Amino acid sequence: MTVAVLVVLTLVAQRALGAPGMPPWLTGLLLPMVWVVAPRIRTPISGFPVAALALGLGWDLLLEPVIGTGGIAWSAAALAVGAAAAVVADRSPAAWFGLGALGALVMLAMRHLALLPLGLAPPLNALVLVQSALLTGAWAGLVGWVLGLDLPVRWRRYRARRLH
Amino acid sequence: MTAVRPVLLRSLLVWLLLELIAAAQVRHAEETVLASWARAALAPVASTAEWLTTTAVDLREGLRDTSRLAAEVGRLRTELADAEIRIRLLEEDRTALRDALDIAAAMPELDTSSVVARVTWRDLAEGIMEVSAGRLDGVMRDTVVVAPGGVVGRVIRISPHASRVELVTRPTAAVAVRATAGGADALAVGAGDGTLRIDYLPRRSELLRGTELLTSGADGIYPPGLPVARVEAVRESAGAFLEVTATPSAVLADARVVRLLTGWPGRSERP
Repeated sequence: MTVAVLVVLTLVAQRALGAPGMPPWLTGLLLPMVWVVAPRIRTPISGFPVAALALGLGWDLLLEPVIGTGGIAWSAAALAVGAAAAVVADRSPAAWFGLGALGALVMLAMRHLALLPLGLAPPLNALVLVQSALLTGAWAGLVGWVLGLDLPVRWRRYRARRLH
Repeated sequence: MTAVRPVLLRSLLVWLLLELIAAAQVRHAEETVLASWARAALAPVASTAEWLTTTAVDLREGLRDTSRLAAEVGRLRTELADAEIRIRLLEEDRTALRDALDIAAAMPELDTSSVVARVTWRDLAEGIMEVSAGRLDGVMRDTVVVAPGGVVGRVIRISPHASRVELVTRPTAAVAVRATAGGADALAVGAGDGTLRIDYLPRRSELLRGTELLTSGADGIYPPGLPVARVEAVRESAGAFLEVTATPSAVLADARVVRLLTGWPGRSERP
């Protein structure tokens, strides 16, 4: 339940990134990508990524003109990330960065491909792809680094030291 | 690898479903993208069906035209055959008219008092002929019938439009004749085999093969002077008369047109 709320909050935050007044390049940062990378970097999952599909449909609901293309894009990104995580043993923030960037590239490419037959595909170029991959990778790497810090354990240790 | 393939297949199916759902939401012009896709997908089927329908219709029309053409060819062939028959009949008519003119030329005194008729049926074995002139044409019983060569016979039965003629070769027929050379009177009687037997010709008669026998008029039926037969054979007999065989002057087997002497004076005097 907590995860679901956090996912919704992430999507809302993503929508806020595209709000008027925000820098346009900020829309390249795909905040929900961490919910795709996180499960697969811990336990590479085989099978169709139903959770990513649900995430994509939620993305469509808040951010896309039609419902369906986001489901395609995010489930494809989850498949790509899962396949990469299955062959890469590294679980460092760098791995988070790489998988996040890969997920962003796949998500944008598949979204473009899904919207193209509908006549709704926005212009896509290499700069936008690289920019989004770097930003999303950095965001995923940051999350991975924070998780790597294991803050709850540190907090408990800190409280224990204070008590003594 | 075996696990990847079902996942990819399932993913492709889900993506396809999602794409169709998305296409159903987007409208371009008057229809959704999904509808335009469906129309585009069905277009080859529709055009193929249309082509098949058109081809079938063309084929049916072609077959109908062919059968119509065959019927037309058949009709034209029939018409051609009819035309050929008509031409043949016209040629026969022309020949018949020429024959009639020949008869008229041979017997000019009979031209204005006769009726030309076509031979419609004949039985030479029975010695009977049927012609296409009857009571309504002025034909009466015993009317004399002649052909280009000479006498054919006489009418024995009449209907409104046809007459039955007894040929001179019939065993029951008899014609009073006179030899052109000797002038002796005799009686030409049908022999029943296409020839005539000349009876009552005296032994003193000088009769040669080829001598023409003409009607004498003594029988009151045939007008005098018409050719009846030519002598074929003469034989002396033990009796008082010669045994003479003759062939009819008229070609009975080929005569197409005959002349019926309706105005022969001898006829009008008869009851």
